[in-house]
Amino acid sequence: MRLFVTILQGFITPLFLLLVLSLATPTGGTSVSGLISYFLLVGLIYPLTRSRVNEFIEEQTTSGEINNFLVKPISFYKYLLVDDLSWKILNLLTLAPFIFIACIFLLWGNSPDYNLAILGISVVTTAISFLVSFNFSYLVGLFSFWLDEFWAINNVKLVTVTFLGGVVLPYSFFPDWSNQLLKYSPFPYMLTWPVRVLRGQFEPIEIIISLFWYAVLGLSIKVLQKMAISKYSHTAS
Amino acid sequence: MLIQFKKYLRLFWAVQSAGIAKDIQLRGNFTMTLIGSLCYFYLHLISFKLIISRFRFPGWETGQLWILLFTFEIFTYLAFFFFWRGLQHTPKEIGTGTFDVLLSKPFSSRFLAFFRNCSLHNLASAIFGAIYLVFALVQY
Repeated sequence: MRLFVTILQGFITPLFLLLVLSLATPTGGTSVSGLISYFLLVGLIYPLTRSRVNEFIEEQTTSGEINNFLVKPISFYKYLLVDDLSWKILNLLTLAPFIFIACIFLLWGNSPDYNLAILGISVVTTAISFLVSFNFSYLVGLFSFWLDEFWAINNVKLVTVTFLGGVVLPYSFFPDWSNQLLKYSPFPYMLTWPVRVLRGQFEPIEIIISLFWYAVLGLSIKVLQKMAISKYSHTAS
Repeated sequence: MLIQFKKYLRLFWAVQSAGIAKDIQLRGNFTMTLIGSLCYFYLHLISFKLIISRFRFPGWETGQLWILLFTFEIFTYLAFFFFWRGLQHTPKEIGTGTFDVLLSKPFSSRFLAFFRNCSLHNLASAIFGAIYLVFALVQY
Protein backbone atom coordinates (compact mmCIF):
# COMPACT_ATOMS: atom_id res chain seq x y z
CA MET A 1 0.00 0.00 0.00
CA ARG A 2 2.79 2.41 1.02
CA LEU A 3 4.59 1.62 -2.24
CA PHE A 4 1.43 2.28 -4.27
CA VAL A 5 0.81 5.62 -2.52
CA THR A 6 4.47 6.64 -2.95
CA ILE A 7 4.30 6.01 -6.68
CA LEU A 8 0.85 7.57 -7.12
CA GLN A 9 1.87 10.76 -5.26
CA GLY A 10 4.30 11.72 -7.99
CA PHE A 11 1.55 11.76 -10.63
CA ILE A 12 -1.27 13.64 -8.89
CA THR A 13 -0.01 17.26 -9.11
CA PRO A 14 1.33 16.96 -12.70
CA LEU A 15 -1.96 15.37 -13.77
CA PHE A 16 -3.99 18.32 -12.47
CA LEU A 17 -1.53 20.81 -13.95
CA LEU A 18 -1.66 19.13 -17.37
CA LEU A 19 -5.46 19.00 -17.23
CA VAL A 20 -5.61 22.76 -16.60
CA LEU A 21 -2.88 23.59 -19.14
CA SER A 22 -4.62 21.52 -21.84
CA LEU A 23 -7.36 24.19 -21.73
CA ALA A 24 -4.83 27.03 -22.07
CA THR A 25 -3.04 28.52 -25.08
CA PRO A 26 0.80 28.43 -25.01
CA THR A 27 2.43 31.83 -25.57
CA GLY A 28 6.09 31.33 -24.66
CA GLY A 29 7.22 28.36 -26.78
CA THR A 30 6.24 25.76 -24.17
CA SER A 31 3.89 23.09 -25.50
CA VAL A 32 1.57 20.88 -23.44
CA SER A 33 2.78 17.76 -25.34
CA GLY A 34 6.37 18.52 -24.25
CA LEU A 35 5.18 18.88 -20.69
CA ILE A 36 3.37 15.51 -20.79
CA SER A 37 6.59 13.60 -21.51
CA TYR A 38 8.47 15.67 -18.90
CA PHE A 39 5.95 15.10 -16.11
CA LEU A 40 5.54 11.42 -17.04
CA LEU A 41 9.28 10.92 -16.59
CA VAL A 42 9.31 13.01 -13.39
CA GLY A 43 6.50 10.82 -12.03
CA LEU A 44 8.56 7.70 -12.75
CA ILE A 45 11.94 9.00 -11.51
CA TYR A 46 10.78 11.07 -8.50
CA PRO A 47 9.99 8.00 -6.30
CA LEU A 48 13.54 6.78 -6.93
CA THR A 49 15.41 9.98 -6.10
CA ARG A 50 13.44 11.67 -3.33
CA SER A 51 14.08 11.03 0.36
CA ARG A 52 11.76 11.66 3.31
CA VAL A 53 14.25 10.53 5.91
CA ASN A 54 13.84 13.86 7.76
CA GLU A 55 10.31 12.84 8.80
CA PHE A 56 11.63 9.56 10.23
CA ILE A 57 14.39 11.37 12.16
CA GLU A 58 11.79 13.73 13.61
CA GLU A 59 9.60 10.80 14.74
CA GLN A 60 12.58 9.05 16.32
CA THR A 61 13.79 12.20 18.07
CA THR A 62 10.39 13.26 19.40
CA SER A 63 9.48 9.79 20.68
CA GLY A 64 12.94 9.15 22.10
CA GLU A 65 13.35 5.97 20.07
CA ILE A 66 16.58 7.38 18.72
CA ASN A 67 18.07 6.18 22.05
CA ASN A 68 18.11 2.67 20.56
CA PHE A 69 20.74 3.86 18.12
CA LEU A 70 22.68 6.08 20.49
CA VAL A 71 23.34 3.30 23.02
CA LYS A 72 24.35 0.73 20.40
CA PRO A 73 27.39 0.72 18.12
CA ILE A 74 25.21 1.27 15.05
CA SER A 75 25.61 4.31 12.82
CA PHE A 76 22.25 6.05 12.62
CA TYR A 77 23.21 7.53 9.24
CA LYS A 78 24.19 4.17 7.73
CA TYR A 79 21.09 2.45 9.10
CA LEU A 80 18.78 5.07 7.55
CA LEU A 81 20.70 5.07 4.27
CA VAL A 82 20.35 1.30 3.89
CA ASP A 83 16.69 1.43 4.94
CA ASP A 84 15.89 4.17 2.42
CA LEU A 85 17.92 2.39 -0.27
CA SER A 86 15.91 -0.79 0.21
CA TRP A 87 12.71 1.18 -0.48
CA LYS A 88 14.27 2.68 -3.59
CA ILE A 89 15.16 -0.78 -4.89
CA LEU A 90 11.57 -1.89 -4.30
CA ASN A 91 10.34 1.23 -6.14
CA LEU A 92 12.76 0.53 -8.96
CA LEU A 93 11.53 -3.05 -9.37
CA THR A 94 7.94 -1.82 -9.58
CA LEU A 95 8.66 1.07 -11.91
CA ALA A 96 11.26 -0.66 -14.12
CA PRO A 97 8.81 -1.84 -16.85
CA PHE A 98 7.30 1.65 -17.15
CA ILE A 99 10.71 3.35 -17.18
CA PHE A 100 11.83 0.86 -19.84
CA ILE A 101 8.82 1.69 -22.07
CA ALA A 102 9.34 5.45 -21.52
CA CYS A 103 13.04 5.11 -22.48
CA ILE A 104 12.13 3.24 -25.70
CA PHE A 105 9.79 6.07 -26.73
CA LEU A 106 12.25 8.76 -25.70
CA LEU A 107 15.40 7.31 -27.27
CA TRP A 108 13.76 5.86 -30.39
CA GLY A 109 15.67 6.73 -33.58
CA ASN A 110 19.03 7.54 -31.91
CA SER A 111 22.21 5.52 -32.51
CA PRO A 112 22.74 2.52 -30.14
CA ASP A 113 26.02 4.03 -28.83
CA TYR A 114 24.31 7.29 -27.92
CA ASN A 115 21.43 5.45 -26.26
CA LEU A 116 23.76 3.27 -24.21
CA ALA A 117 25.75 6.32 -23.09
CA ILE A 118 22.57 8.19 -22.09
CA LEU A 119 21.20 5.18 -20.21
CA GLY A 120 24.51 4.66 -18.42
CA ILE A 121 24.70 8.33 -17.40
CA SER A 122 21.07 8.35 -16.28
CA VAL A 123 21.71 5.35 -13.98
CA VAL A 124 24.74 7.14 -12.44
CA THR A 125 22.82 10.42 -12.06
CA THR A 126 19.86 8.61 -10.45
CA ALA A 127 22.22 7.15 -7.84
CA ILE A 128 23.93 10.52 -7.18
CA SER A 129 20.54 12.30 -7.08
CA PHE A 130 19.29 9.91 -4.43
CA LEU A 131 22.45 10.36 -2.35
CA VAL A 132 22.31 14.19 -2.54
CA SER A 133 18.58 14.11 -1.77
CA PHE A 134 19.16 11.73 1.16
CA ASN A 135 21.92 13.89 2.62
CA PHE A 136 19.82 17.03 2.29
CA SER A 137 16.81 15.36 3.97
CA TYR A 138 19.01 13.95 6.73
CA LEU A 139 20.49 17.39 7.36
CA VAL A 140 17.03 18.96 7.56
CA GLY A 141 15.91 16.12 9.86
CA LEU A 142 18.67 16.96 12.34
CA PHE A 143 16.95 20.30 13.03
CA SER A 144 14.26 18.32 14.88
CA PHE A 145 16.74 18.17 17.80
CA TRP A 146 16.21 21.92 18.23
CA LEU A 147 12.72 22.66 16.88
CA ASP A 148 9.32 21.77 18.32
CA GLU A 149 7.24 22.70 15.28
CA PHE A 150 9.21 20.56 12.87
CA TRP A 151 6.42 20.40 10.27
CA ALA A 152 7.20 24.06 9.44
CA ILE A 153 10.80 23.37 8.43
CA ASN A 154 9.58 20.24 6.65
CA ASN A 155 7.20 22.44 4.62
CA VAL A 156 10.05 24.81 3.75
CA LYS A 157 12.20 21.85 2.67
CA LEU A 158 9.43 20.29 0.59
CA VAL A 159 8.55 23.54 -1.18
CA THR A 160 12.17 24.51 -1.83
CA VAL A 161 13.24 21.09 -3.07
CA THR A 162 10.22 20.39 -5.28
CA PHE A 163 10.06 23.89 -6.75
CA LEU A 164 13.77 24.54 -7.26
CA GLY A 165 14.31 20.86 -8.13
CA GLY A 166 12.03 21.12 -11.17
CA VAL A 167 9.25 18.84 -9.90
CA VAL A 168 6.51 21.49 -9.75
CA LEU A 169 7.49 23.13 -13.05
CA PRO A 170 10.28 22.32 -15.53
CA TYR A 171 13.27 24.66 -15.75
CA SER A 172 12.05 25.90 -19.15
CA PHE A 173 9.48 27.95 -17.21
CA PHE A 174 12.19 29.70 -15.17
CA PRO A 175 13.96 32.89 -16.29
CA ASP A 176 17.46 32.37 -17.74
CA TRP A 177 19.23 34.23 -14.91
CA SER A 178 17.67 31.91 -12.31
CA ASN A 179 18.62 28.82 -14.34
CA GLN A 180 22.22 30.03 -14.42
CA LEU A 181 22.21 30.50 -10.64
CA LEU A 182 20.42 27.21 -9.94
CA LYS A 183 23.00 25.28 -11.95
CA TYR A 184 25.52 25.82 -9.10
CA SER A 185 23.05 24.96 -6.31
CA PRO A 186 22.30 21.41 -5.09
CA PHE A 187 18.62 21.51 -6.12
CA PRO A 188 18.87 20.48 -9.81
CA TYR A 189 20.83 17.39 -8.73
CA MET A 190 18.28 16.06 -6.26
CA LEU A 191 15.11 14.94 -7.96
CA THR A 192 14.82 15.54 -11.71
CA TRP A 193 18.42 15.33 -12.90
CA PRO A 194 17.99 11.86 -14.54
CA VAL A 195 14.92 13.20 -16.37
CA ARG A 196 16.96 15.98 -17.94
CA VAL A 197 19.70 13.47 -18.83
CA LEU A 198 17.18 11.21 -20.59
CA ARG A 199 15.90 14.25 -22.50
CA GLY A 200 19.43 14.93 -23.73
CA GLN A 201 20.18 17.91 -21.44
CA PHE A 202 23.41 16.81 -19.79
CA GLU A 203 26.74 18.58 -19.23
CA PRO A 204 29.72 16.66 -17.73
CA ILE A 205 30.43 19.52 -15.27
CA GLU A 206 27.14 18.67 -13.54
CA ILE A 207 28.71 15.48 -12.15
CA ILE A 208 31.43 17.54 -10.43
CA ILE A 209 28.92 20.07 -9.03
CA SER A 210 26.64 17.30 -7.72
CA LEU A 211 29.52 15.43 -6.06
CA PHE A 212 30.71 18.70 -4.53
CA TRP A 213 27.27 19.23 -2.97
CA TYR A 214 27.12 15.63 -1.82
CA ALA A 215 30.41 16.15 0.04
CA VAL A 216 29.36 19.55 1.48
CA LEU A 217 26.07 18.12 2.77
CA GLY A 218 27.87 15.06 4.17
CA LEU A 219 30.32 17.26 6.10
CA SER A 220 27.50 19.47 7.36
CA ILE A 221 25.69 16.34 8.63
CA LYS A 222 28.79 15.26 10.52
CA VAL A 223 29.15 18.64 12.26
CA LEU A 224 25.43 19.13 12.97
CA GLN A 225 24.89 15.57 14.21
CA LYS A 226 27.74 15.99 16.69
CA MET A 227 26.18 19.23 17.98
CA ALA A 228 22.68 17.67 18.08
CA ILE A 229 23.69 14.56 20.04
CA SER A 230 25.79 16.54 22.52
CA LYS A 231 22.66 18.59 23.31
CA TYR A 232 20.19 15.67 23.29
CA SER A 233 18.74 14.25 26.47
CA HIS A 234 15.77 11.95 27.04
CA THR A 235 14.17 10.48 30.12
CA ALA A 236 12.15 7.31 29.66
CA SER A 237 8.65 7.37 31.17
CA MET B 1 -31.91 29.77 19.11
CA LEU B 2 -30.30 33.22 19.27
CA ILE B 3 -29.23 32.62 22.86
CA GLN B 4 -27.64 29.31 21.86
CA PHE B 5 -25.88 31.03 18.93
CA LYS B 6 -24.53 33.76 21.24
CA LYS B 7 -23.36 31.14 23.72
CA TYR B 8 -21.42 29.26 21.06
CA LEU B 9 -20.06 32.49 19.62
CA ARG B 10 -18.72 33.41 23.06
CA LEU B 11 -17.24 29.94 23.43
CA PHE B 12 -15.66 30.18 19.98
CA TRP B 13 -14.11 33.54 20.85
CA ALA B 14 -12.83 32.24 24.22
CA VAL B 15 -11.19 29.21 22.58
CA GLN B 16 -9.68 31.25 19.77
CA SER B 17 -8.34 34.04 21.99
CA ALA B 18 -6.72 31.47 24.30
CA GLY B 19 -5.13 29.76 21.28
CA ILE B 20 -3.89 33.04 19.80
CA ALA B 21 -2.47 34.12 23.18
CA LYS B 22 -0.57 30.81 23.38
CA ASP B 23 0.76 31.19 19.84
CA ILE B 24 1.93 34.76 20.52
CA GLN B 25 3.67 33.72 23.74
CA LEU B 26 5.82 31.16 21.93
CA ARG B 27 7.21 33.65 19.40
CA GLY B 28 10.01 31.50 18.05
CA ASN B 29 7.57 28.72 17.24
CA PHE B 30 5.08 31.19 15.78
CA THR B 31 7.74 32.69 13.47
CA MET B 32 8.74 29.20 12.34
CA THR B 33 5.15 28.11 11.70
CA LEU B 34 4.41 31.35 9.85
CA ILE B 35 7.39 30.72 7.56
CA GLY B 36 6.23 27.12 7.06
CA SER B 37 2.75 28.32 6.18
CA LEU B 38 3.81 31.21 3.95
CA CYS B 39 6.23 29.10 1.91
CA TYR B 40 3.25 27.29 0.31
CA PHE B 41 1.51 30.64 -0.18
CA TYR B 42 4.50 31.99 -2.12
CA LEU B 43 5.01 28.69 -3.96
CA HIS B 44 1.49 29.12 -5.37
CA LEU B 45 2.19 32.76 -6.26
CA ILE B 46 5.52 32.16 -8.01
CA SER B 47 4.32 29.02 -9.84
CA PHE B 48 1.22 30.87 -10.97
CA LYS B 49 3.28 33.81 -12.20
CA LEU B 50 5.52 31.45 -14.20
CA ILE B 51 2.54 29.59 -15.69
CA ILE B 52 0.67 32.70 -16.82
CA SER B 53 3.88 34.03 -18.37
CA ARG B 54 3.87 30.95 -20.68
CA PHE B 55 0.15 30.22 -21.09
CA ARG B 56 -2.98 32.26 -21.77
CA PHE B 57 -6.35 31.09 -20.49
CA PRO B 58 -9.12 31.93 -23.00
CA GLY B 59 -11.89 34.01 -21.46
CA TRP B 60 -9.77 35.04 -18.48
CA GLU B 61 -7.87 38.33 -18.10
CA THR B 62 -4.58 38.25 -16.14
CA GLY B 63 -6.12 40.37 -13.36
CA GLN B 64 -9.08 38.03 -13.04
CA LEU B 65 -6.70 35.07 -12.67
CA TRP B 66 -4.81 36.83 -9.86
CA ILE B 67 -8.06 37.68 -8.08
CA LEU B 68 -9.10 34.02 -8.39
CA LEU B 69 -5.79 32.89 -6.92
CA PHE B 70 -5.88 35.27 -3.95
CA THR B 71 -9.50 34.36 -3.23
CA PHE B 72 -8.44 30.70 -3.29
CA GLU B 73 -5.60 31.47 -0.87
CA ILE B 74 -7.92 33.27 1.58
CA PHE B 75 -10.45 30.44 1.63
CA THR B 76 -7.79 27.73 1.83
CA TYR B 77 -6.01 29.28 4.80
CA LEU B 78 -9.30 30.13 6.54
CA ALA B 79 -10.35 26.49 6.15
CA PHE B 80 -7.01 25.48 7.65
CA PHE B 81 -7.48 28.04 10.44
CA PHE B 82 -10.94 26.79 11.39
CA PHE B 83 -10.82 23.05 10.79
CA TRP B 84 -7.26 21.73 10.48
CA ARG B 85 -6.41 21.14 14.11
CA GLY B 86 -9.81 19.61 14.76
CA LEU B 87 -9.52 17.25 11.80
CA GLN B 88 -5.96 16.35 12.74
CA HIS B 89 -6.44 15.82 16.48
CA THR B 90 -9.91 14.25 16.71
CA PRO B 91 -9.05 10.83 15.19
CA LYS B 92 -5.90 10.65 17.35
CA GLU B 93 -7.85 11.53 20.50
CA ILE B 94 -10.54 8.95 19.72
CA GLY B 95 -7.77 6.38 19.32
CA THR B 96 -5.99 7.23 22.54
CA GLY B 97 -9.11 7.81 24.64
CA THR B 98 -8.44 11.49 25.40
CA PHE B 99 -11.56 12.46 23.46
CA ASP B 100 -13.44 11.74 26.70
CA VAL B 101 -12.34 15.15 27.96
CA LEU B 102 -14.35 16.84 25.20
CA LEU B 103 -17.34 14.55 25.71
CA SER B 104 -17.53 15.47 29.37
CA LYS B 105 -17.83 19.23 28.63
CA PRO B 106 -21.31 20.84 28.75
CA PHE B 107 -21.18 21.87 25.07
CA SER B 108 -21.61 20.15 21.72
CA SER B 109 -18.60 17.84 21.39
CA ARG B 110 -18.73 18.22 17.58
CA PHE B 111 -18.43 21.98 17.92
CA LEU B 112 -15.54 21.72 20.37
CA ALA B 113 -13.80 19.04 18.31
CA PHE B 114 -13.83 21.03 15.08
CA PHE B 115 -13.48 24.65 16.19
CA ARG B 116 -10.74 24.15 18.69
CA ASN B 117 -7.59 26.18 19.21
CA CYS B 118 -6.91 27.32 15.62
CA SER B 119 -3.43 28.12 14.35
CA LEU B 120 -2.58 31.80 14.16
CA HIS B 121 -0.13 31.31 11.29
CA ASN B 122 -3.01 30.17 9.04
CA LEU B 123 -4.99 33.30 9.92
CA ALA B 124 -1.90 35.42 9.18
CA SER B 125 -1.57 33.74 5.76
CA ALA B 126 -5.27 34.38 5.04
CA ILE B 127 -4.71 38.07 5.93
CA PHE B 128 -1.73 38.13 3.55
CA GLY B 129 -4.05 36.74 0.85
CA ALA B 130 -6.61 39.48 1.61
CA ILE B 131 -3.94 42.22 1.35
CA TYR B 132 -2.79 40.85 -2.03
CA LEU B 133 -6.43 40.60 -3.14
CA VAL B 134 -7.00 44.29 -2.36
CA PHE B 135 -3.84 45.18 -4.34
CA ALA B 136 -5.02 43.05 -7.27
CA LEU B 137 -8.49 44.65 -7.21
CA VAL B 138 -6.95 48.16 -7.18
CA GLN B 139 -4.44 47.35 -9.94
CA TYR B 140 -6.81 45.58 -12.37
